[in-house]
Amino acid sequence: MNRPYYFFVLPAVALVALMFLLPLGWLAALSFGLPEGFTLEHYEALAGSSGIRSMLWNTVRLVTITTLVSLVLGYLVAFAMAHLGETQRMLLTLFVLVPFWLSVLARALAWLILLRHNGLVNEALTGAGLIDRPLQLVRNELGVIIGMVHFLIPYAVFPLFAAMMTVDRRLVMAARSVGAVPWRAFIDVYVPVTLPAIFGAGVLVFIFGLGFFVTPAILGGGRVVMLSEYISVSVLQTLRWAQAGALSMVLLVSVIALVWLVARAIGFRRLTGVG
Amino acid sequence: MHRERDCYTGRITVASRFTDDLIDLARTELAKGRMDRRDFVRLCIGAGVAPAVAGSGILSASEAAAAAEEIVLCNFGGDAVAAMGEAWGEPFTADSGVPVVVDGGVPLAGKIKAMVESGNVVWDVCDGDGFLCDQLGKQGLLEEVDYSIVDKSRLPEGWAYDHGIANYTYSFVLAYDTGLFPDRAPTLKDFFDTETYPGFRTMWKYQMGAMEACLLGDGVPPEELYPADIDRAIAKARSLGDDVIYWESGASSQEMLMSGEAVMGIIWNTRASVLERDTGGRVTWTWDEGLYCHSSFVMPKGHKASAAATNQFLNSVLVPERQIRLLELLGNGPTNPAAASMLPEELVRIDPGHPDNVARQVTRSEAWYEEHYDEAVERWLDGISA
Amino acid sequence: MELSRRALRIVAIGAWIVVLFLLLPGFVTLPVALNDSRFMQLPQETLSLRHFEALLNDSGWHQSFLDSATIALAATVIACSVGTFCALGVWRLGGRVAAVTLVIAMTPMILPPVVGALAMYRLWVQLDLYDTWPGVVLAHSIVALPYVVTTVSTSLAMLDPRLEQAARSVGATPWRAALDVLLPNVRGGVISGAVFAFIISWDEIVVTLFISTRAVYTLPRRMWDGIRENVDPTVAAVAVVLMAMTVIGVAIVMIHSRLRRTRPKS
Repeated sequence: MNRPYYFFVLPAVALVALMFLLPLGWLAALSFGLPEGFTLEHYEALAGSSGIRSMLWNTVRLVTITTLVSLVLGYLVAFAMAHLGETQRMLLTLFVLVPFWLSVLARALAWLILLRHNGLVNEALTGAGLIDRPLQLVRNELGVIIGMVHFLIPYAVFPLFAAMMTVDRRLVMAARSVGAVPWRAFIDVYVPVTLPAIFGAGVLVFIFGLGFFVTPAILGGGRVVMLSEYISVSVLQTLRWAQAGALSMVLLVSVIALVWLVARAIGFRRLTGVG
Repeated sequence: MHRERDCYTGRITVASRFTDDLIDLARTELAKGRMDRRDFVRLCIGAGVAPAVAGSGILSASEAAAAAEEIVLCNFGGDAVAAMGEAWGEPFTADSGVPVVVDGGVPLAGKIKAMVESGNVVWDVCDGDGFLCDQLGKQGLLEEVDYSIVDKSRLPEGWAYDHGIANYTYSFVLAYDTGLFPDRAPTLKDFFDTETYPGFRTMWKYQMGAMEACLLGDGVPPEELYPADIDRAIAKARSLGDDVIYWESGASSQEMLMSGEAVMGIIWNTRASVLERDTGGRVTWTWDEGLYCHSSFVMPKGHKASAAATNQFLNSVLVPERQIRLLELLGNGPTNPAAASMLPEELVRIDPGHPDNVARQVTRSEAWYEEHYDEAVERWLDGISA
Repeated sequence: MELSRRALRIVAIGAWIVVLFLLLPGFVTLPVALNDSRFMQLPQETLSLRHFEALLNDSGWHQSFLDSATIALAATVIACSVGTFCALGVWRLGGRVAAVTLVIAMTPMILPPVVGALAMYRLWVQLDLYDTWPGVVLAHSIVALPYVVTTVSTSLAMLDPRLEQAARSVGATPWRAALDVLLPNVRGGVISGAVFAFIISWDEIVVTLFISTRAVYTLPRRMWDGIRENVDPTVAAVAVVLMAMTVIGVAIVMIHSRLRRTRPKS
């Protein structure tokens, strides 16, 4: 009965398994010391290295902050798009789409020009007499967060907007007719109904954030070293492939676990469409 | 010989229309840079038209003779692609008929290793730091240099490695804004004195040059620099607090000093001389307390060009005139000591390897880096980011 | 949702502030592209079109535009067709098989691109796909696939499963049911998946840096080189052109759909 549907998923599974997971398996094998033997020393080394621990902690911390900020701002924009009428919706959609097309490299440079010590923002603020000395807005964690939030907001907006468009307006009307004020209706009815989309967008943004490479490298001023860059150094420069493999496996398992937990919490079907 | 010719002519006549089209197409592709010469030549041989191509003026007769042979030189991209092609590739092709294709594919150690292990080695010669010759060579990833072809006397003692040769020199130098130091060049002690000389400093994010500057600035005598105390260097770097920005590409180091965002920087000499030109002397550099390094060419194990051709190419890299041309184009100095006396006056000042300039610098220990590079980079990154 | 005028106004102001923030880097890109020097900086005295001229006259940039466009189109077609069917299959199969399939299809998104890049680089060199057009298309398709699967799955999640059962019960094969009944209902998801896939391929840099060098030279790669080598303002001109193309493209789509909606049905 279900057999034809296996053929539906086959091309995707074959493509990823053969061209992506297979070569990745080699990296995974290296992380267990294969083919010379089996060892967990690379994983023990990960746990034992204070440098790696602090790098991982920094990554998770920054990506969490970024995800939360992107979700809140993205929700606001999506809400406006869903409820402000045709013209505003079109303009907002257009303007959310524009930065999508601005290369991640061009954006990073633009942020430097805007935010650095002698950049536009600082010069404007000093010129207006608001500050005496330039603010440190970039080449630190703040700069990385600004750059990442900027990149990720559109990725939060579209799933949220899609969900809001399907929210049954009558639901909210009903809530109000039994006496709820708009604000309460928003908190008690609207937000819970869009919760799966919030989680879905949050997971997407979070996972995306974990892989960031260019933005932290350019906007972090060298002192914000995140996971991707760390792996890149072990892979390309220091040839510690087993360590890179172990880090990747830990990341893969953690992210799958995270998605599974979120899916369980809000219902797998509602998150992914899988019943 | 005659029979072969006849055979070719015959095929050309039969398929002349088709092959003409093919060659036309290939020629446009080649001109656009969409097809490399190896593919081009392969295609022409496939079509049986190598001699015809030789006659067509795209390839010389000797090139067609050496048709299967081609050297792919991989370097770090950017201006170096054209510069190495001009300084080394073209003259070598003129001598030997073997085309040299420069590929800016960024041959970091990890990529070389993965390529060798995959068994399909696309690069014949790769650019890398001096200590990589021994580091990768000992892992069995590189071919040995054939010193019956490469003339060892063209290199200083110790720069002719078993698995590679020193191809050019470069330095990490202290560049500075003359607005802050109008009368004299700063020292590394000034570099770390943020009280007297406020403003951002910049160093390379990836440890090299930066670590040495930290140690020298902390009072380590030059002759005791190696074995390096990484923790001491990190502590010194951290003492700069928020006054340091780490650069990650040569262009970003240049840009920070250019825009005035940073007032001092430990940067590559190649960038320092460009900065001096672009700022009309507002930013300049000193060789004092610089870190003098050399780079190398290595041959990944199992590469496709013949050992004879690649070794001949390595030998040609050491021709002083060609190395001087590279210095003019890129700012990377000659490794052949014979070049020093041939340098025009204006190049002496920018050559990191000129004896006058070397005397003012500290030389990087390739032996220490071969042993400790991995650990040093990782600890440095942990240290500056924590 | 019915909101008071005041609340709506606050939402609108908030949303526009966020949008301004989104547009900010675009705003500075234009003056930088118009600056009169060889450097990436704001115009000092006069404006100039020299960087646009450089762009117009440099066949390298044209070739990169073409490379990126064809690669992104091909990768979008592959990722979108493979991904949509995958999502449909997963939706219908359900249970453990679906979960495992989904995890497999998602791995290229979950792992940092640099990990996949190394793995693919090794395999691509082995298979002679290194630095070839099909090689880059294939890599981009794999990287973009999870985004298509996610977006299509999200729209399927809101679909009533009985729809498909109804189609099957009147005799439609799974393929016909998928093509004629399901696809039209998840068109929005497929389209946004395609847009995602296109953008991801169009802007992909990490994997591209590993698996291509000179035969295939995509736009982000050329920009990357331009930025790391010379901080070349042509890059800003490219960004301006890209943004202008986006604005025009989206505007055309919007006007078109508006015209269609307002036109009376005959």
